[in-house]
Amino acid sequence: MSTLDDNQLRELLPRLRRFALSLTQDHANADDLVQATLEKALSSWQQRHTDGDLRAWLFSILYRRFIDSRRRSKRYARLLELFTGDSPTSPSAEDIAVAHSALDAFEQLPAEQRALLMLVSVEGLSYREISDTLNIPMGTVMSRISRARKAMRALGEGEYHVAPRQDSRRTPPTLRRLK
Amino acid sequence: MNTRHPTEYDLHAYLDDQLDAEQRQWVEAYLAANPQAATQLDGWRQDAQRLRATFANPQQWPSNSALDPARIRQRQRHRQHTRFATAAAMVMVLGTGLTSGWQAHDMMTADPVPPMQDALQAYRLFTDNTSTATTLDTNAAAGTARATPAEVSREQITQLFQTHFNDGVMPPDLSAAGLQIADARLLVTEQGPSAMVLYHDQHGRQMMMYIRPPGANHHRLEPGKRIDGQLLAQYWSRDDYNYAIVSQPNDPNAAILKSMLRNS
Repeated sequence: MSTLDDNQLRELLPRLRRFALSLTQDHANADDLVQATLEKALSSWQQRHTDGDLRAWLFSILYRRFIDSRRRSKRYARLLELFTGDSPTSPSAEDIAVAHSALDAFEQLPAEQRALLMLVSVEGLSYREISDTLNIPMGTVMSRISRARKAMRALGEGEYHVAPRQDSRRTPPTLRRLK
Repeated sequence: MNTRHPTEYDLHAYLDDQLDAEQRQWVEAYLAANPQAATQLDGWRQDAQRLRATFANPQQWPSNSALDPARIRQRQRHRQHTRFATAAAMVMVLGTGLTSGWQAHDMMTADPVPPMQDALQAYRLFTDNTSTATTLDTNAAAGTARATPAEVSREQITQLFQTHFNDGVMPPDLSAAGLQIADARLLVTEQGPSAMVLYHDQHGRQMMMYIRPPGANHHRLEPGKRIDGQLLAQYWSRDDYNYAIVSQPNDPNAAILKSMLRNS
């Protein structure tokens, strides 16, 4: 395959948006991430050495860009903290209380664990593909899946319900626990 | 048949369909005999199903035209053009900056005194005040060595130039053009010795050749000329020295001298 087919990309767009949303937890940011991913994919298509699954390749670009941007914002936050003396990332006690009531178990997992669960449970990637996509060894894939599932169980006890998502692109997916 | 019990990782691999048929049977047998493990696995399975339900049908999400590959390609091309234009502008700005910086550097390092002002002063001193020069010359402290007009000989000039302006251009013999050397003097500048050689013709016109070391910071002269009062100074740098010809502006002899000095 010499050129990257636009139709192929269009077909994968929904999956990319979904994976991005699970990471950023915000529709607008997710679409920004997908856009950056497609730009990178289009410009580095010629340099792509592996003939593997296009979807896995795109997921790996997306995940790398997400990690990079998060690293940058963390650096920025640290810098800000240095100048202002307080940390903009540490939530207040009130924020934490709100988070517990509004966010579901999945959303409270670390991004690394969310990425893993998405790829294995939703996208159905093999452990080998996940290892390549997230650039972590197979053993780590398995241990992280185990940790992520236990954490999700402990946090949510599996009792949540899916809210309709057609309303606004900017609201994160709302998953409410039903007791 | 595998005799060991499946590990927790094996259970996850079973759930995620990563096992072959034989391994599946092995895990299923274990689950049948271990209800606690089966319950645990069911919990994970439910979580996975709910996760799939939560993120089901992303193709039904409101579309975002900004993500269309054709649009992104178009934007990339546009950005590339913009980048090229920016790069071109940067080159221009850099060029302008360098030029003005260089000019500013020139202005800052340039002698605030106009070029070859000392040559003009020497001309005024030794032509207009020829009669008083004799008395000044006797003052050794003034740092001038002199050869009175009557005593100037070609040999003396040659010796003076060879001693103090090694590799400098010698004052030419212009007697064929009716010009005689009327005076030659060794003078002093901050950077070292300078010298003036005064020519005159039968009409009483006087012009002067002046040689000196470059100015401060070894500043070299762009070839040029300037009018100062009633005098014309033409100047340039060559090798280790700066040269000037000072004359009346309409003196045709200056062109001859200049040509001889610059082409020799």
